[in-house]
Amino acid sequence: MKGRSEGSVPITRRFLINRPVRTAAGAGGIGLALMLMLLLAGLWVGVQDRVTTYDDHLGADLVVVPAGTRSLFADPGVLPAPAVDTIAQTPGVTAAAPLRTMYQILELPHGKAAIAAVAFDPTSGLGGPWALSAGRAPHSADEVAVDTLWADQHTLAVGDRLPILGHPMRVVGLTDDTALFMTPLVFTTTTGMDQMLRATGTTGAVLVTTSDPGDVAERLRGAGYTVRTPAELHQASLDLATDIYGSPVRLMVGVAFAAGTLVVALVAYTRVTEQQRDLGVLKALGATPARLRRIAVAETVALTVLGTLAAVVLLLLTRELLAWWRPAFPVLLTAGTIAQTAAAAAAMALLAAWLPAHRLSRLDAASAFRSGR
Amino acid sequence: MNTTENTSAATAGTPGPAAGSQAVSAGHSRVPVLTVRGLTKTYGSGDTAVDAVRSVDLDVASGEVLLVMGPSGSGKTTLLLMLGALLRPTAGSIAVTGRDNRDVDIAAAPEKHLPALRSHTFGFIFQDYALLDALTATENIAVAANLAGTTGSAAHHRATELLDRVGLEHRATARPSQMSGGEQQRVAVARALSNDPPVLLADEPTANLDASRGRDLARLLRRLADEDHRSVVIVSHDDRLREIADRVLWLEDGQFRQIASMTIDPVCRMSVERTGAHLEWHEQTIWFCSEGCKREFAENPDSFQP
Ligand SMILES: Nc1ncnc2c1ncn2[C@@H]1O[C@H](COP(=O)(O)OP(=O)(O)OP(=O)(O)O)[C@@H](O)[C@H]1O
Ligand SMILES: [Mg+2]
Repeated sequence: MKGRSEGSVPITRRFLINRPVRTAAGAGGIGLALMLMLLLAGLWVGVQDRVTTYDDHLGADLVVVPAGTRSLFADPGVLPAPAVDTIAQTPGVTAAAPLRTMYQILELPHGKAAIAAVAFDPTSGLGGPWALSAGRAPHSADEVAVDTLWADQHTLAVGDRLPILGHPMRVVGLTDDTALFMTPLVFTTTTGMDQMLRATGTTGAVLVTTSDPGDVAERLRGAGYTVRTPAELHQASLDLATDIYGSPVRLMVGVAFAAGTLVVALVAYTRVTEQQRDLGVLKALGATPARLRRIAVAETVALTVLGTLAAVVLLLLTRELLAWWRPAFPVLLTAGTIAQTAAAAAAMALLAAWLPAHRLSRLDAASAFRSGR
Repeated sequence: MNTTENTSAATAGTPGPAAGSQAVSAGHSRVPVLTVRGLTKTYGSGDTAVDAVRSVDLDVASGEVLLVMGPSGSGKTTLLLMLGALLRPTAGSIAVTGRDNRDVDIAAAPEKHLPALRSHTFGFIFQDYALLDALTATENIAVAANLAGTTGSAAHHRATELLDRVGLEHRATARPSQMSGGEQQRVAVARALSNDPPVLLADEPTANLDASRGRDLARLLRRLADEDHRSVVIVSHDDRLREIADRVLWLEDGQFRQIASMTIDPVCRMSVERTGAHLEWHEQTIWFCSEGCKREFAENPDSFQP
């Protein structure tokens, strides 16, 4: 295509430059539609990143959970407290630590707030916060560390009191990277939580470290325990999020794609309609239908490329805006998302270009003579 | 054959050999470039069918300027479109001799051969110039050269040369919207020449030009026939074009009529048949295109020259 038109008058470029405002409006419309798709995809990646952040920072090689538990927060259960020691003594286990995870509703001065509570054993180094923006991790029964973004939102600082289950806990640290999708993580000690729950005889799960996860998992299963790897827990959280949000997100991405395709199609169609006289003249001068189609397709593709650039710029702006307005909703752009959107844009462009190209094949060469009548 | 003779013959109103079923032919020593037989175009079908051109025969020689006149709706544009491979005839044949001296029947040529036929055999001149506004004067011409297979600097060079020929070298980078009608039409003529076509087809080329620009364009078309031996077929209402035509044909209801029977309406200067509106004046019968023209004449006969 390039080779054959080498040295020809660049008709497509001239058409695009001739009406810069229309070109910009067309590219802008395409850009907005693509931006919407990128934004939704980016938000979805962000949601997936958020709902698995705790699973990814357990520090354990295996997690023993109550029978039937698939996901730490969604369906927690209880294990007998002595299980921690039994598991610790299992051959191959380096360390075992208790863990409780659960959603809770807190009564705050200005209303209720849902949190994802984590009770971990500070002496084990497992299951606690992994990044702090202020203070330290909780050591004693009345201490908590809370997510930094959530603390900002509720104007909590280190040293403040936070009532949990009626107990005035003391905030000793602010943690980073701990906003789950809708709820923040709040870290307490297992001792503190067991007391608050009056449940000293049980625990929620047991975090296990080992240099031989395969064999140890076998052994623990042999002893009647349900064993998960962090990767399985990660997957369970993802599946759960997909169950809940997957369909609406897919629907929205689908709608954005359809809307985007329509926008591209409309832009392409409008342009070809506007240029019908010019294209008719070219046909009368001997342009083949294939050449006219190439002009229309090249124009649509050029507009889509411009639109994609516009989409990236618009997305970066929107992302900044969102990060400032709702920092707990990160928009994550992965190479995959961008590649998918680029592929979607290409699909849109081709789908959309088909329409005017189809119209061009029916273009009447005689129309050039009849125009102006 | 020399041009002066031809021109005078045409202006004197002497027709070519008779029209009708018999071929309207240049006749003389020159080789026919276009040979048309039984050319017919029917738009639509059934009750709404319009016979725009009915079984027309026509020969056009190289170097000849043929003017086809006729009332509105008589089929002039339809005829021209068929000659230029822009419209498929319903019946008949159009043999054209290309630059390579090979004959092609346009009417029977497969669809995929038509673009090459258009770009190599014909130069089109449109009433509204039909220039691409996104392109400069030079590019408008170069684009047609591109379509005929000349690309790169060769096309640009050709465009510059042709602009020079039509006296517009100083407007090379101007856009059509920045040019006067006369200038645009000259660019259009240059574009029509970019593929060096044996046949030029012009539909109402002077309709949007004032009298002096119209005359300039007419002379330019005459020169292109004389100097390059191109056949020029002009379809027009414009009486001024008679001056440069070797032959004038009268098309009415899709058929050629005897031009000898035609006379000029003194009011609108259109060629009219000796039927319908007329009046006697100074022992002379004067014919009009309409009752309106007749009334206008009757009100003030001295202001018109029959
Ligand atoms: N595409 C079309 N479909 C149907 N009828 C058509 C079409 N084009 C032209 N006609 C009809 O064919 C007849 C001849 O039209 P044509 O345009 O060839 O006339 P013309 O002599 O060029 O007229 P004018 O001087 O007004 O340009 C007219 O009756 C017209 O209405
Ligand atoms: Mg016409």
